[in-house]
Order: sequence, then C-alpha cells, then structure tokens
Amino acid sequence: MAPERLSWTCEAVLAFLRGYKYQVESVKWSRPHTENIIELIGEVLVTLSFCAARIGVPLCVCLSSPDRRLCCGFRERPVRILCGRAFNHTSGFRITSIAPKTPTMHQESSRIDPASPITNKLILEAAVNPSKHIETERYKKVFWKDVKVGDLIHLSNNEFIPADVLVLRSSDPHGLCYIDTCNLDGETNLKQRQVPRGFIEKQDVFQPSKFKSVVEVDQPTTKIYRFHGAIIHPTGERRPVGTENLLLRECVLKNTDYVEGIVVYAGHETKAMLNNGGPRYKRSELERQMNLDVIWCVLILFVLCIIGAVGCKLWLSSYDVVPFIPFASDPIYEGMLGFWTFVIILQVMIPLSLYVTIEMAKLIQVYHIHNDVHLYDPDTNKRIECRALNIPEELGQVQYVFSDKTGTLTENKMIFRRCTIAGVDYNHPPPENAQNLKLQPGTPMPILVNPRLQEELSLLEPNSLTENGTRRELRFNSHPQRLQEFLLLLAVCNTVVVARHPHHDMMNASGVIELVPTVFENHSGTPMSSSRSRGDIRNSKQTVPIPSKTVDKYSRLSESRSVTPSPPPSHFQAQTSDPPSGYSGGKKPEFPHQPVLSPINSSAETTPTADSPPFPKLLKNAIRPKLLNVPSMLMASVKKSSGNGNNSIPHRSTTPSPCELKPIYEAESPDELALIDAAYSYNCRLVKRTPQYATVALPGEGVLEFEILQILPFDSSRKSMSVLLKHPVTNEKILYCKGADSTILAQLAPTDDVIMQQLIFRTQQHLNSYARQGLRVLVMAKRTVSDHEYSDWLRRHEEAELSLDNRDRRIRESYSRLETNLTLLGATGIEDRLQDGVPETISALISAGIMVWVLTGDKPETAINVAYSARLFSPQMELLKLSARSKDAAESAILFYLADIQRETPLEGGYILDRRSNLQKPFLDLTRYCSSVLCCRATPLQKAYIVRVVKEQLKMRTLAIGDGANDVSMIQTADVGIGISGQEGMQAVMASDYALSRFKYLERLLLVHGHWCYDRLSRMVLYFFYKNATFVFLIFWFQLYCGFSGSVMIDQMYLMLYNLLFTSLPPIAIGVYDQDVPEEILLARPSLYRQGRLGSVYKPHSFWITVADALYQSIVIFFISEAAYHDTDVGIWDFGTTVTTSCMFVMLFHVAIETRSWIQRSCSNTSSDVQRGTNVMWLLDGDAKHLWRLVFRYKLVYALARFWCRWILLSGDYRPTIIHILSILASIVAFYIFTIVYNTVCLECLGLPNNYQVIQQTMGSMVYWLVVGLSVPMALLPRFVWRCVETCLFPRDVTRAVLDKRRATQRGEDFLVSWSRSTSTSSIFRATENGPKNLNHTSLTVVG
Amino acid sequence: MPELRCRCREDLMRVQQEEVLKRPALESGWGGGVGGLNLETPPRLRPCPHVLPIEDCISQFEWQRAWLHPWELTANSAFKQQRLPAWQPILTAGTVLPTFFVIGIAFIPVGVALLYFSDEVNELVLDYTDCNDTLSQGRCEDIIVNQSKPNCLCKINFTLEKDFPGKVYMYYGLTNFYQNHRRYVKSRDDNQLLGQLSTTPSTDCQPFAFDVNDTKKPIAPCGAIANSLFSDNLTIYSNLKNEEVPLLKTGIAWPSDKQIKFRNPPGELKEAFKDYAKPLNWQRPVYELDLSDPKNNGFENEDLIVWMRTAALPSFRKLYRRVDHDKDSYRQGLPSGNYTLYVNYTYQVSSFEGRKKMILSTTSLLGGKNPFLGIAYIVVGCVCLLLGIVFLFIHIKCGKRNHTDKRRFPTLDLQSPAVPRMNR
Repeated sequence: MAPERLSWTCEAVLAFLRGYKYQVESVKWSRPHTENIIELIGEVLVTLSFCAARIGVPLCVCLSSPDRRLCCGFRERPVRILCGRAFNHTSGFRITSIAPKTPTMHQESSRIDPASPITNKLILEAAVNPSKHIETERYKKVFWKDVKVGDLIHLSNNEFIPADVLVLRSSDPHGLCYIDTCNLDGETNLKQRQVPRGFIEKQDVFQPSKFKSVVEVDQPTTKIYRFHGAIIHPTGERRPVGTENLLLRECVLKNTDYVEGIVVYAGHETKAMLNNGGPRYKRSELERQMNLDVIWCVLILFVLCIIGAVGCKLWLSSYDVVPFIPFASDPIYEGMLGFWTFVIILQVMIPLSLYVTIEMAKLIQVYHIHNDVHLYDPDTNKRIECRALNIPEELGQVQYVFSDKTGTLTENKMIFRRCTIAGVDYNHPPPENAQNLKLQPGTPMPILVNPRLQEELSLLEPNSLTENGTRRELRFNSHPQRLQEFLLLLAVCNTVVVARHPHHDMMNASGVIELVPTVFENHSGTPMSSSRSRGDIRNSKQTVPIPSKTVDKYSRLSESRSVTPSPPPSHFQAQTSDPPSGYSGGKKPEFPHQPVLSPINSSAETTPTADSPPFPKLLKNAIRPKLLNVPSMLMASVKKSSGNGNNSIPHRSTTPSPCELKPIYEAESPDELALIDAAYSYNCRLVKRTPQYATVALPGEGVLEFEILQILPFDSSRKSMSVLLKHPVTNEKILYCKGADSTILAQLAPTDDVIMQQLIFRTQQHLNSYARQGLRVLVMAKRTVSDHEYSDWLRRHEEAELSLDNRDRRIRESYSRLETNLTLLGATGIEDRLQDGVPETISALISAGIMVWVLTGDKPETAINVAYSARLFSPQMELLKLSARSKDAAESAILFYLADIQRETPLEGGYILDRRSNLQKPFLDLTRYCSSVLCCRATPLQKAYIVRVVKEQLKMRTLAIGDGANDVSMIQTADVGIGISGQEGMQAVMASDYALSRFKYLERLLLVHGHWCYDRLSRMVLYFFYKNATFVFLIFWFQLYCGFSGSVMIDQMYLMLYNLLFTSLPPIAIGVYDQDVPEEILLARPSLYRQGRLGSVYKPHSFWITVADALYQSIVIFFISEAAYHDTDVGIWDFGTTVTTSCMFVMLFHVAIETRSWIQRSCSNTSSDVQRGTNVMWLLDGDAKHLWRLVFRYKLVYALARFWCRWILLSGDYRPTIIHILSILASIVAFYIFTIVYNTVCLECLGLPNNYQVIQQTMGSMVYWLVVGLSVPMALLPRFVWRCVETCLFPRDVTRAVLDKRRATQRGEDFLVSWSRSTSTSSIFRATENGPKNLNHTSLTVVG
Repeated sequence: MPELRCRCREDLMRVQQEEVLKRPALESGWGGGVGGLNLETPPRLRPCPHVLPIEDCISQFEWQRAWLHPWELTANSAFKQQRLPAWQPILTAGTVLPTFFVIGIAFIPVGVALLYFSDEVNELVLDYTDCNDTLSQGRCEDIIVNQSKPNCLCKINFTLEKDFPGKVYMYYGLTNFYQNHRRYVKSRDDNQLLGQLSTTPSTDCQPFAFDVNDTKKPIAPCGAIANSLFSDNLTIYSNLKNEEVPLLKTGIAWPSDKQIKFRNPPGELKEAFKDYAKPLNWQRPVYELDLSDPKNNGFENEDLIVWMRTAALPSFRKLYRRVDHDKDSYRQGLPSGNYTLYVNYTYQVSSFEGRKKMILSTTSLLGGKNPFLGIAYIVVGCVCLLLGIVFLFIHIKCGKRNHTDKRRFPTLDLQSPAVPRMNR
C-alpha cells in the first residue's frame, strides 16, 4: 500500500525523471551496449532531423529528453525534445510481427513471479522467434518500466494502464471496453474504447502469438484525443485505427473483465507523460522584489566601480613616476582597467549565493510543510503535496483567495434530499446521527426513504391490488404513475454504466487464459441471456454448475418487495401537511419507522467482507443468499440512535436476496449517482445498460427493456441532457429530459390546463425553496415524440452531423429542437454538504484581511446559501446583487451601487456577478468596497478571467483553490494554485502548486506556514543584502588607502568562503527555523497575517535601510581597524584578517539580533526518548529518502541540502542543542578552524598571497581582540537601539501579539500553551509540562 | 466531541510511538534501527487509555481510523513539526537595559586602562627626510635624486627627555608609501623566497624579474617589493656614553617567516646566487645584505623579511633594530640624554612625497602608542550608559503603558454571529 502511494506521488512530482531513468534502464537492458551508445549519439542527430510525420513505431523506443528537468531548473518552459529513433536498428528487428521483439530476454526469465510487488501487467512471455518457434504462450508479470513498444499486454479490470495500448481484444463480445480518464483530464465519466474493426470478428480466435501485422502510428503528441494509425496485415491490407482504439496510460480500465493489446507508446512517449509538464515555475512576489533589489545592487556596484576607476586615474596622475609600482602607464588606461578590476573584486555585492541559499531554505521549508501532521488527513490518508518548491513565501502574501464551491467548500458527496413530483414535495431528511456517520470515510450517505412516496408507489405493485383491471386504471396519469415515470427518468436519463458484479480476469496465475467457449457465442440482447452468460462465466470459471435462475429471481424480487410493511397512512398525512419551506433537518425526528436502505455497493468497499477477494465472495453469494446480511456499522449506529424504532427496519433491507445485490453504478457525475441511487431506493432499478438498450426493473411492471434511440449528451450551454427511448410495451418514443430549471422550464409546452399550470407553479415554488436551502436543483421533464416527428428530426440531425462548418453549434441546435414542448414531471434537490471546518476557515481568512471570492458555476440562490453557511456572508452584511442581461444594464447597476457607496460610508457587502462584461474597472472599484464576493454561473474560463483581472488590474496576489477540471485554468492563472484532491479526479491537483486534501487546511497553510515562510525569507533576503553590502563596502574603503588600485586586504580564500562557509548557516537558520510568532498565536489571531499580506517585512525601502546600515557598519568596522592600526607595523594580511574577523562577528551578532526565536532544546510534548528513537531511525530512512526525491531536481544543492538536513535533524532532535546558537557557533568555529589550518598548512597555495602564520600572529596581539570587541557593539548599536525603540514605542503586530501572550502567561491567565516556556517562567511550566492537566489543555488549544 | 477525539488520537499516538520505539530496541538494538521496523504493518494498538468508555470516545469507525499511518507517527516529532520549544527574546526597553549598562560599565574601565597603557609607552619620532649631508651640506634627498654623490651621510642630534625603560625598539617609518598597491603586493615570488631558485621567476615579478642590463639574468629576490627594499642605514650614537648604542639586527622578523617562509638556497650563498642578478635598486647583492653577520644574509635577512611583509596602510613603520639590553649601560632600557642619529641616506622618497622617520619606542600590551582604542572604548561605553539611561526612562514611562494598552487587537469571536444554517 505504502509503496504504491509513494510511487504515485512520485509519479506526479517526478514523473518524467523516473520515466527517464526507467527508459534508460530498459534500453540498457534490452540492447547490446554498443548499440546503446550508437543510439545516444543518434539521438542528437535525430533531435535535429526528427520531423517525419510517420515513423515505424514497432521498434521506436524513445529516449525522452533527459534535459527537460534540467531546463526546468532555470525557470523556463522546458524545451521538449522528442527523440524518436528514426534510424532503424538492425534489420533483424525490422520484422513483420510485433510480438517477438525481444525473444531471448523473455525466454531466459521464463519463471512466473507473482510475488513481485509492483507488477502491474502481464506481458506475453513466450514469443515467436523467427528461428525458434515456441508454442507455449503465457503472460508474465513485469514492472511498468519494462513495458516496451511492441509488447502485447493483458490488463484486468480496475488496473491502471501502463502505456498507450492499442486494444486488440476485449472480454466484451462487442469488443468494447471502458476507461476512466479521470487521472488524465479530470473527467469522471467512462469512455468507451473498442477493438479495431476487423478484429472484432477475430476476437474469439485471436492468438497473440500469431499476430503478425505491423502497426503504424503517428509520432507521439500531447493531444490526448488525437491518434491515427493503421494496422497492416500480412496480406497487405490496411486497417485504420484511431482514438477509439487506444487505451491511454494512467487511465483505469473499467467495466471490462480484461483486455489485451499492443503497446504503441511507452514510457515517456505516452500521452499522459507528454502532458505532464511537471511543476510549473512561478515566481513569487518576494522573489520579484528581490530581483529588483539585485538590480539595485548591480547599480551600486557600478557606482562603486566608477568611483574606483576615477580614483585610480586621479591617484596615478598625481605622480609623474610612481616609484614603488613596477610600471607606470597611462593613468586613463589604468583607470579603465581599474574599472574592471573593481567589478571583479566587488562582485560580491551581487548576492549570487543568495539564490542558492534561498532555494535551499525553500526546500527545507517545503519539507517541513510537507511533514506537518496538522495538514494530514487521516480520512483520505493524504498529506499536503507540495508540487511547487519555490513559492512557499507567496503563501504568506496572499491578498485574494478565489475558491471553487463544489467539492472545495462542499464535500461533493451528493445526497438526494428532496424531490417534487407532480407538485408534491417529498422530503428525505438526513438521519439524526449524520454527524457520526459523516466520520466514516468513503461511504455515501444513506437515503432515508420517504414513507409517503413509498406508500404511494406501492399502489402500483401487483399485489397491493387484487385485480389487474384496477391496476390498469391506475396507470393512466394517476399520481403514482407520475411518480413511476419520474423514477424511471431518474434511472434512465443518464450515462450511468452498470456493472452487475465486480469484474474479474479469466487469466489464471500461470498466465494462461482459461477460455470459455460459451461466453461469446450468445449475443446477449436480453437481460436474461446477458445475466446468464455472465453467470456462465462465473460458473465455468469455478466449474461449479449453478443453474441460472435469473427470471425466477426477478419474479421473486417483486414478491419479496411486496411484503414490505407499509407504515400507517395517517402518518403520511402529517408529512404532507409539512410545507416545503418549513423544512428543517432537526424538525423531523418523528419518523422512527423510516426504512433505511444501506447502499451496499459502496459500503462493500469498506466493510470487512471487502477484504476477501471478490471472487470467493461472489461464489459464496451464489450459494448462500444471506451473505450480504452484514450488519454494517452504519446500521448499527442507526439502530442505536433511533432507539426503539429499530425493530421496524424492513426485512428486505437487511436480508437481501442475492439478486438484490445492488449493481455497481459508475456515473459521470456524483449527481447522477445520487439520482440513480434514489431511484434504486424506490425499487426503480437500472439493471443493465448497453448503447442500444437500457433495462430497468420497475416495481409492479417487472423488467422492461427500453431501446435507446438517441442520447442527447449534456453540454454547458444547453444545461440539459436527454434520452430518447422507445417503450418496449407501448412502442412510444419518449424523450426524457433533465436539466437546469432555467432551461427546462423555458421549454415546457404551453398548456391551458389549469391543473398543469398549477403544477408548474407549485414546482417552481418548490424549486425556489430548494435553492434557498442550498440544494442543487434539477428539473425533469418528458416529451412523447411521434414517429413522424422523430424521423423528421433524425433526418435533420444527421444533416447537422454531416455539416462541415459550425458542426458543434448545429448539433446543439438540433438537440435543442428536440428538447421542446416538454411536459413537467418534477424536480430534485440534491444536497452538497459543506466540508468540515469550512466556515471557520473562511472566517479566519476574512479576518486575516484576505478577500475571499467564491466562483461557482452554480445557481445564485444555491450559491448564496452556501455562502451564508460557509460564513462568507454574514447576516449583518448588505448584499448587493448584480445580475444583468446586457452590458448597459450591468454598467448602470455597477455605477449606481458605486455612487451609492461613495456617497455614503463604505459598507460591507456581498456581491454577485452573473455575467462577465467589459466593465472591469467599475466592477473592480465596486468590489473594493465589498468584503466578499460571490460569482455565480461562471464558466472555467470566466473563473480564470476574473482571477486574471484581479491579478493584473488590481495588482493583487491571488490564490485559487479548486478541485475539479473546471478549476484548472483558474488554478494556473493565480499566483498560488491549490488543488483539492477530492473526488473529481486529479486534474486540479496536477495543475496546482500545492495539493490539499481538505479546504480547512488552507487556514493553517496560509496563516501559519505562509506567514512563517514569508517572514523568514524576507529577513533572510535582507540579511543577505546586508551581509554582502557590508563586505563590499569594507573592501571599497580600503581602496581609499591603496590608491584605488583594486587591492584587497582580505585573502582570496576568505573572500570565497565568506559566503559559503563563514556566514552561510545563520541565514539558513533564520530562513528555515526562525519563528517570529508561535503557531498558536498565529492561528488565534488571523489578523497577524496582515504582515505578509501588506508585505511589511520586506518593503521597497527596506533594502535601502539595509544598505544604509551596511554602509554604517562597514565604516565602523573598517575605520576602527584603520585607526587602531594607524602608523603601526601592521601587515596587509594581518589587517585584512582583523577586518574579516570583526566583520564576521558583526554579521553573526547581527543575526542574533534579527533572530526572533531561539530554539531551545530537543524536548517536546511527548517524551523525548520516543522522539529520539523514532527520529534517528526515520531520519536515516523514510524522510531522508523523500527529501532525496524532492531535492533530486536540484542536483547542485542536493548534496548540501541532505547533509544540512541530516545534521540539523541529528542536532535538533537527537542531541539537546540550540539550532540558532549552533549555527552561529559553527560559523565562528568554522572560521577559526579554517583560518588556522589554512595559515598553518598553506605555505604556498594556489599562487595566493601568502598568509602563513598570519592568524596566529594576529590573534596573539591584543589589538586584534580589542578591535573586534569594539567593532561589534559599535556597529550594531543603531540597529539594536532601533529594534528596542520600535518594540517599545511602535511595536509591530506580531511583537504585540507575543508580548500580550507573554503577559497573559505571566499573570497566570493562560498556561495552556507550550511555547510560553520562556525566560523567567520556564521552570514553572516545565514542571507541569507532562502532567495530565497540561495535556488536556494542549488538546483544547489545538482544537480551538 | 472533537476534543475527545483529539485527545484519544494523541494518546493513541503516544502508545503507538512507544511501540515503535520498543521494537527495534528489542529486536536489533539501537544499531539496526530501521531494519527492525516494518513499515507496512502499523504497530499493534492498545485500547484507548482514556477514562471514558471506548464507545463514547470513538465510534467503531473512528477506531479503525485511529490506526495511525506510520508516517503520521514518525512525522510527529517536535522538530519536523517546527514545535521545538523556543525562547523568544523581545527587545523591549526592560530587557535591553542590562545589556546597555553592562556594555557601558565594562567598556569605560577597559578604555581607561587602554589609555593608561598607551600613555605608558615612550616614543620618539624623528623625521630625517630633510637632513643634510655632513660633508656637502646639501639635502641628502636632492643629492640622491641627482646622483651627484654615491653616498650621503647625515647626522641628527636628538635628546631623550626621559628614560625609556624596558625594551626599546627602533623603527623606521615611511609615509605615503603604498606598499598595499595591488600590483606592488603581488610583485613577488614566494617560491623563490623559499629557496627554490628558478631561472624563470614568477611572472608576478615582472618587470623586475630579469636584469635588463646584465645579460638578462633572473633577479633574486625578484619583484617590486624586494626591489624597493628600504636601504637607509641608521645608527645611533650615545653622546652621554660616547659609544654607539648597541643594536640587534635579528629578532625583528616573525619567527615563522624567518624559519619557514624565507629559506636560503642550499649551499654556499654566493655560489648559489651566482647566476642571479641583484635587484636593480640594490647596492649589494642579496648575499651581502648584512656584512656583519653572515647568517643574516640571503633571503633570510631579517630586514628583507620585514620589508617583504607589506604594510596595510600607506603610512607605516617597520621594525628596524632592537636595542641590545644585554649591554650593561642599557640593561634598564635607554637612558635619557643626548644622542646622535647617523643616517646612511640612500633611500629616495621625494618621488612620492613621502617622509622618512626614525622611531624609538617601548612597547606595552597594545604594542605602540595609540590612544585611539582607549578613547573609543570610553566613548562607546559612555554612549551605552547614556542609552541605558534613556531606555530606563522609556521603560519607566512606557513599560507601564503597554501593560494597560487595550487597543491591541479586536477580539475575534468566531462563534458569536448567528449564522443562518442551511437547513433553516
């Protein structure tokens, strides 16, 4: 489990690196060494000449460019070099058959190794060798990395597809199979793939080893849905193949027992890999500002160099002949030369090491963010995934947060909540113990069946009526009939795929397919034959002949249903009297008798039985009908909470007959799943679905097979989808349509019928009330289409399909033509519950001063309700609604509000944008007065547009958070993109910089980690500027005393190591481990986020203050030394050493002033022994490895970073030590050790000026120490005084917060918090630290 | 409910952590830490050690979830969570007061002591740049520049007002001499000075690497530094005792330089240097630098060594001689009285407008006479004391105010506003 997950993350983060590695391995493995080299050489040539449109793919193993990642390091969009291998290998490989590509390789490893851990697929093992023909053919499990182009592979259901595979055979008799492309494009619906034409017929007799055809395909492209190629049979016949035949890597095979196919693209060439751009490189605001200041540094350097050059010229021209200079030359020439000399000696001004250090610091910061247990979601077992390594500080500077609603704020677990059928509202309140149930992962909410609806439906059931005749009467337009039809629509009008049982592969462990000859004989047109054939598969597999009794089962089904006890009718009256607007979850405890339907399919994933392999379970199922009578935890808790009502739970639901084993529905969207589940609860069950037929089991009517004439798929402009069915009994053609209320209600047939009008009116009322409750509404309607109409429409539709221009639009129009004159059936309301902690998070963000905008595609009413419950809006706010059809109207509305606001005092208000217009400026002006904004009906592009407008026009730093494919563009546009790894696939996560598993983690990520990262990095950057500027100024002052000759008193070695060794650790200690405020305070006071939001730590003028300070300090350092050594016998190197030392001490004490928190000891809340043990173990194993992966990209930094981390880990936790002090001490020690060693050993090193014994001599003199001792306090005095004055007179927010907390602690008001173990109070609190009382408090604090 | 949950989780975490810790210790000891821990199977979980019944503490589903992921366990270290206890110094007036007072109180005595030591040093500076030739009465500088006379000897009388007790050193001082010039500093060949003579000296020595006049012999020691070796010969005559003050030519260079860094080539010096020319400005070859002491010749000549250690600043002094205190009359130092300085004037400074000085000085803890450090220490100490007082004032004035400062943060009450529930 763990390795898989790990490998997944790896795949995401380091996809191509791994791919590359594996590719190389595989190349090495399969080919002789020399050829390998030739390939590599050829690769270069090929890169240049590779533009052939078509290549012979069978032998094209592509080495994808290894340099992509290297390019990434330089913040550029990687130039993607496709290295196909155009030149063919040996002629021996140019064969007509694909299969026998590497026969020898497979022969020598012919053993079957089922135990290998990450085996994902099977490869045809026995191959046909031109010389040797081996008859035994078996599949063998191999690793993904070993999959090569031309391999024949066998995949089972629910397996990830390891490469782009051309399907050659499927378990489906029609040659169909389905893939879930969720990982690729975020679409959760299943896509159908099929065996190429010409192969379908041969499926039964298909022998992989006899496959002799050549496959020709395009060169690899990034276009996921574009694929062309051909199969050339040995006879010379060409058969085209296309997208519909291609299985894509990283998709999941669904609804198919198995497929076999040939790999056409492997490894890096696969479309998935080509589409995975890896993490993108965004540049943070801080970095931009820093770059600006680096330019200033360059300018300062330039000025210094100019001054130096001019000085050099003047100094030289003051002499006629300079006696002690070896040769005198033209002063002007010397001056020019001097300029470049100065450039070289003063280039330290440009802090190159800053870039390295900052990357390293960010890396370690990301490491800590990644390791935060508070960002770990135990439900999904996911922690935060940091995909972008270089913008952690941007998290602390976010000004605008744009959030998606569905799936981000809400859970995107759709729960069928209400429906109105024929004007009657049916409520499905949540169970009382919903809070407890919510905790269990992965199980959808059960639907409490509405008893009234149940009872009304039961009128339709056969045995509720004594005679057939009365039943017939009831059928026509009666209320139950409407209900029936409504449910039928729910069950049919969708794209749900039904799986009756978990798919299983027919291949046995030894890799041989056990062919069942009867399987494909029967074209399964009817449900009976279909289920029989499936039964046969199952039976024949196990050779346990069980007679198929499908028909009987179905009849039994209806019988068993009929015995369902009906609740007394009086009860329902009470319910109808309950007006829809009065809905309230808490007001419905009066249903003790509610039957509960446990959704068996999904809970099967989590219930203990799921742990046993699916197959035995099925078998047991067949034999022992009561197997599924598992008292699920869900039921248990319902029982517990509902008290005495448990005995009335219907017999049916607890003891389902085997056929009631609910089919596995695989739907395009969770809404559909909720609808079909609801229909299922009322026994209107979709049994089977093929492209041509939908088989539905209806209560009272048995199993009906509808012919599907046409599916009108959903699209966002029509906002509806429809299915055109042919009723099997009446042969009527009925169009079932569901869609947004705005669309459907507008298309209703005009009616004069008062009842009908009233019905529509009431439905509308219900819809409004649903929307007010925050439910997602869908309206259902139907239309009976006459044969004539249909054929007429079909003709025109075919025309539209064939048209060349505007095809999409014409098809859409054609669909809309059919979706008119509808008859209203009813509507549904589906609840999308808010995620845990969303209101708290949003109010924290708002109080942090962040503007929160919610962008959703949903209805305004629904969105507003969600906004209220998410505390985006508060009741005190005034809501400004803006929705206009035209630009003018919008403009006038905006201007009206704007004028209104400007006239009066600015008021808080929510704001709703309904339509994008060109009114950016007034709109944005208006939004400035709003505390939060909600935009409804936004398409993905509009979302991105809004983000871009705010980002560019208002120049704000934006964060976008979303979970679905529709948020991708928004996520990519924003400065920080965050993906929620929720239910809607991985697309958002792939596009994001950080992937969270829950919205609520955003609070901690921004307020704590963002704050810290920004604060730390800002101070680190400033410190770096200071550090380098000081050093450069020191050298510059010396020029005044050496005739501007460019002489440097500091040894070259020290110059080099100054940044690398002597002063490198303290900045990192600040950049990574300093905390200006402990996290408790940050979380308790979101307003502290202001510091980063306004960028108040690193402002444009901060740089100049820093430089001024550096100037002052350098003057102090240099001139103290100068004055102390004035007119003495000091040598140049002694002097330089003294200056270097005092400079270094000043730097380090400067760090000490700037450090906000001195990490004390390695004790933690839990026992330190535990810490010690686990840490040492893990440091060497798990996380070091993970870090290794993260770091790998930074090859240069890698070694250093790992060393650093290990050192710090060891020292931080294992030994009781103090990181900051240690870093400072380490620097000092490093300096002295180095200088002493260098001055002792180096008699004549690298041609550098000789420093032999200088440090010893210098240290021996008192002046050295006195100078250092004087320089440090004097240089740091202004900064120190300023810091004190700042704290005393105008303290910053953070300082005040810490002071407040400390005072509170000292007064004894609050001793909950562990951080307050400080200075004077430390002993007191340490004493109680591990006491139970304290523990209790700590937990409370964490919660609060 | 969440509180309970949280607490349970923490307890569980602890129990589990202990188990994790125990395992490797039992199985493989401390050494093989990783090997003993199987990451796949989380450690067995003990029942929740909570006072409440387990059912109330966590539901059964939660119970399953209470199995922590191994990662969660190990990541929960104070270090990784950045929760190491920290001391947060805040530089308020109160906390920095001691710092200022301590610095002030420490620095002022140090400064006073330094001033005292500096005053203790006796120093006599004699600028002899403009001295006249004893014979021709012309300015020696002019004579040298014009090269009208090979030798110029001057004689300057001076008086020591008081006794110079202790060891007395004799320096020569030069001003305006840029020994730290970039080209000058590097114009030397350290390998050569190590005694490893080569016919091609380092290119750094250019243009003082080869003797242009003398058949292009390589120069030893080469380079501009050596070439500009201070060549005046200074002697002191004591008028009181009527004898020359005994001066030592050795012991003026760093021992490390003398013993390791500057080595003569092996063999007889004259022989060794026979293929090498003397530097252009030199009167005598390198093996005849000290005629009185044959050991003090060649590269190991201490005057050369001292000169080769280039000065940091354009005005500098270099140790020239030590007064030999072994002699009876100078055992207590240099007595006061009249002295005469005899200068064999050969070194020309007019081209760079320099001055030449002879300095007689005793030493102290600090070396020479330099009141700067003492004054600086006193000043800094005073400033710190002053600041301390100012901050004391601030502390008294504002420290109280901060305590009663109520305008800090608007209290954020997340729970208070009545938020309409979705279900209402």
